Amino acid sequence: MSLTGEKQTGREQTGSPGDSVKKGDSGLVALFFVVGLAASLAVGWIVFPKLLYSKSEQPFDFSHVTHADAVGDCDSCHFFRDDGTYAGVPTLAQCVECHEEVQGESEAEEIFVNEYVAEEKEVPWKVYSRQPDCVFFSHAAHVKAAEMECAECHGDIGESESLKPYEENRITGYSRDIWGQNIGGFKKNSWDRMKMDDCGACHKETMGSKGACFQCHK
Amino acid sequence: MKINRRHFLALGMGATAGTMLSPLPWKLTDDVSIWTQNWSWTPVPEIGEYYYTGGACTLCPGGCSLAVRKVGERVVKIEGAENSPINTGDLCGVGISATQLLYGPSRIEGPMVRSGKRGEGKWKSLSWEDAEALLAEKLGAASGSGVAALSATKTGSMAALIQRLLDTVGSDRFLTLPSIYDTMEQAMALTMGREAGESVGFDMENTDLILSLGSAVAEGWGSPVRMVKAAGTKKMIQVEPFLSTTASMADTWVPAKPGTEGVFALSVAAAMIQEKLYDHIFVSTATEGFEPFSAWLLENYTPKKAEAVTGVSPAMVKKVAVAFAGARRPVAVCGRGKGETPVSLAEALAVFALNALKGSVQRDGGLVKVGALPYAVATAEAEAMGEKLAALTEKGKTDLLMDWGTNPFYTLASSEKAKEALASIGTIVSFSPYMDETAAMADLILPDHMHLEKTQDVPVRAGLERATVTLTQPALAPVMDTKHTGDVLISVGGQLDGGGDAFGWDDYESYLEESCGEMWEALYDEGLWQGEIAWKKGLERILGTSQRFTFVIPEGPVYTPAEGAESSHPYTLVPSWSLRIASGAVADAPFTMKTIEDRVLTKGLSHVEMHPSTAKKAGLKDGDTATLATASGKATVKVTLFEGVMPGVVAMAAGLGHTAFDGFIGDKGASYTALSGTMVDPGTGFNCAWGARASLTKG
Repeated sequence: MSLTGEKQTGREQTGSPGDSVKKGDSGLVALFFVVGLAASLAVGWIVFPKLLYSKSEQPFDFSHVTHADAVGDCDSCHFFRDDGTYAGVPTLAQCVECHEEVQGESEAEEIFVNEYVAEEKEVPWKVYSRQPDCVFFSHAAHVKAAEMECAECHGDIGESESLKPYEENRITGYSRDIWGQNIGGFKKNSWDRMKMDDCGACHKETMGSKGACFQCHK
Repeated sequence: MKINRRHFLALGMGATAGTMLSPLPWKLTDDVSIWTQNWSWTPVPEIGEYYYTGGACTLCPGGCSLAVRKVGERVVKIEGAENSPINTGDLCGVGISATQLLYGPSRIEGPMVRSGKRGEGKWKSLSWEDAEALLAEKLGAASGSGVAALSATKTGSMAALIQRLLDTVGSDRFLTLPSIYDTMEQAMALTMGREAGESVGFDMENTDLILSLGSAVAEGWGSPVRMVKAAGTKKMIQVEPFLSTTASMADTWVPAKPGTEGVFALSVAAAMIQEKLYDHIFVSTATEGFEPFSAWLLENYTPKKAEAVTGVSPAMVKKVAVAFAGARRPVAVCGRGKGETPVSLAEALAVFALNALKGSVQRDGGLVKVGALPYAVATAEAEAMGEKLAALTEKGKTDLLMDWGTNPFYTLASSEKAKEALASIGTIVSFSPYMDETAAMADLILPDHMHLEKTQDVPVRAGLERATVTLTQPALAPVMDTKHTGDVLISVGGQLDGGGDAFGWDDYESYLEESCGEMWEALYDEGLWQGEIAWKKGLERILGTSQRFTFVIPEGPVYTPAEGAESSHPYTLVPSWSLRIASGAVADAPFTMKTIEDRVLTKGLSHVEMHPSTAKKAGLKDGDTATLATASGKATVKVTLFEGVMPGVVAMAAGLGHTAFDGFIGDKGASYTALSGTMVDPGTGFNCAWGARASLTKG
C-alpha cells in the first residue's frame, strides 16, 4: 500500500522490488567478476611477459659443446687472468688463436671469420648473466675460494649446441635471466634466477648470513 | 537485464583481484625502481682487461710520475707511479682528477679563431694549416719588441723552442711566471755562487727538523707527495698567521703577522747568535761576512726589536732558536703557500742565513745546490724577468702575446688595472688545451695536447735534492683535434723570415730527442732522468770547498707592508692553500670541486675565515654575506669564524674565482689573485705580494 492509499500494481504480488533483477543480475555480476579475474590473470601471467621482454639473436650462433669437446673445460676460454680478475667472455684475440681461418663447415663460423676476424671487430655478444653496474661480483671469491661449479650459477650452457635468443627487459635493460624465465620469479634450479635475494639465499645457507650491503655494492 | 554500473564494478574488482594475484604489479615495481637508477649519462668504463701506461703530471711543478690505468682505449684512473723516487706510488687529488680534464667539458676541440668581440665566446674553427699560417703571418707583421711569450717552464725543450721563435722575430721577451725558486736562485748566486742553470733544493729525506717560514708544507709546497710525507714524519715548526693543515701537523705553530716571516727568521738568527747556539766551526771555517752580518742582525733584528713587526714574543723566538739549533740536521724553507709567488730577495737571504748558521748548507738534510739540467739545446737565462713581466701589465707595450700553459688572465691578473692592460694587448694567442681565462680572451687558439696525450720533457723545479726531468707519455690518442705545441712552433717557425734554418727538425719528437741530449735514454726508457747529488760529488767536495757560504746583508726591505691605509682597510687579507684546490694556471677538475669543504666555498661564494674578535669588530656574524674590498678589487664573500686565524687577519682560499674552464668551477668563489695587488721587490723586480689590506662590509 502506498502512503496515499492508492492501489499499486505488480510489485505487491511478485514480492520485493529487486528480486528478479537481483537473481539474474547476480549471475551476470559474477560473470563480469570472473571475466575480469580471468582476463587480468591472463594479462599478468601471459601477456605481460610477452610485452615486457624483447627478443634478439646473438650476432651469430655458437656451439659450446663443440668447443668444450675440442678445447676443454669452461676455463679454457673463461679464465682468470694473472692479476686475479676474471676474463669473462673471450675476446677476439683468443678465438683467433684457432679461427684465423675457417676451420669447419658451419655458416656461423663463416660469418665469424668474414665479418669479425677479417675486420678485427670484437663480437658484440649479448651476455645473459650481466649484472647491473652497482653490483661488484668477484669470480675469484666464488670459484677459487668457495670452489663452486660454473653450472651452479650459469646452468648447463656448456652443453648447449647453440645460443638461445637473448631476451631483454624493455624497462630495465637487463637480461631476462636475472629475474628468471618464470615471470612469477619461481625457480627450480640454482641458476634459474640471480637477483640479489638469490645471492642472499645461497649466502645465508652456506655462510650463515646474507652478507653486508657494502660487500657487493661498494 | 541491463548492464549497469554494478557489472563494471564487478569487472573492475575481478581485474584488481586477478592483477594482484599475478606478478604484474610486483614485477613492474621492481623494474621501474631499477629503471629510475639507470642514469644513462653516468659514464661506466668498458668491461675488459686493465693495463697501465706511464706518464708524468704537469699540473703543478711537483714532478710526479704517473701510472695511467686503462681499459681498452679508455683512461679510467690515474695513479702515482710505484717506482718514482719522487712520488713513490702516491699522487695528490688534483693529479688524480686529470681523467676529467682529459675528457671533460673544458677541452678545446680544435684550432679556433675569434669571430665575435673579445671575450664574447664566439669562435670559428679552422684547419691546423690555416691556423699555423695565420700565426706566422701575425708574427711576421708584429714588431720584434712588441712580441712576448709566456712559458710554463723556464727550461726544457719547449722553453728553448719558444725562445728560438722569439729570437727569430727579434724579441727577447721570453717570460715565465716567477716562483720562489727564482728568488732563491738569486739568493744562492749571492751567497753560494751559482753557475748558469743551477737551482736550489732541500734534502728533505735526511733532515730532522723543518722550520717553515710560511710554506704550505702539507698543502702543495715543493713536490706535494714528498712534502706531505716529510710533514708527517719530520719535526716541524710552522710559521704563519693561519692554522692551516700544515700548522696542525707541526710540532710548534708560530703565528707571526702576515708577511713578517722573513723578519721572524732574522730574529731567530739573532737569538742563535746571542745565545751562541750556532755552528761556530762551520761559520768560522766555511763562511765569509759573518761579522758584519751578525752586527747588522743584532742591531736591527733582536727578538725584542722584531716583536714590534712580527708580533711574536721574544720567548717564542728563543724557543724556536733552541729547537732549530738543537736539531742535528735542521733545514729552514721559505716560499709562502705553495711557493707559486716569489718572496723578496731579502727574505730569501734571511732564510739562507738561518740555514748557514747551522751549517745546513750543501750537506745531508740541508739547503743544497741542484745541478743544471744538461739539455743539449739549452735555454738562455732570462734577465730582468721582473721588469719584463711588469711590461706585460702596462698598456701599449705588447702587440702580440703567446701563452703556453700560464693562463695570465688568471695568474697575472692581480688587479683590475692589470687585467685591463692584458686585455688591451693587440693579439692574444693561446696554446691551452682547456678553455681557460686566457683562451677565452684569445684571438687565436692552437690547442696543445694535455699531459696525458703527449710526449714531452718536464724539467722539475720543486726543491728536489737533485736535478730531475720527467717525461710525459701519451696514454691514448688525442681526444680532440689538438696538436703538440712543439710541432706547431717548428712549423710556424719554419714559415718565418730566417726561420727555415732555425727550425730544421722534421717534427717535435726528433727535436726532443736532440734537445734532451744525454738525458734522452733514461727519459725514454724510464720516464725519469736524475742527476747526481751535487754536493756529494766532484772536486769541490774532495777539497771541502763545496760548502762555502757568504753572509749577505740584504739591501731591500725584509718586510714589505701591504698597501693601503688602516683606516679605510683595517684588515689584512691572506690566501689559504689546499692540496684540493689547484691555484695555478689550470683549475680544478669537476669532481675535485666536490672535495672542497663548506667553510671554504658554498653556493658559489668564497668564504673568508676570521677570528671571532675580527668579526665582532667588523660587525659580522658567522654565515653573514659581506663585501671584501682591497685596493685592487672587491668580491662578495661569506663569513666563517675560526679561532685559528690571527685577529685582524682574514683568510681566503686561493685558486677559486675562475671565470672560464667549465660550469663546474666557472663563476664560483672569488679570485684571491685578483684582490692581491702588487708588491714589487727591489731586489728581484718580481711581484712578491703576500696579501693585501682589506675592508669588510656587511651585505
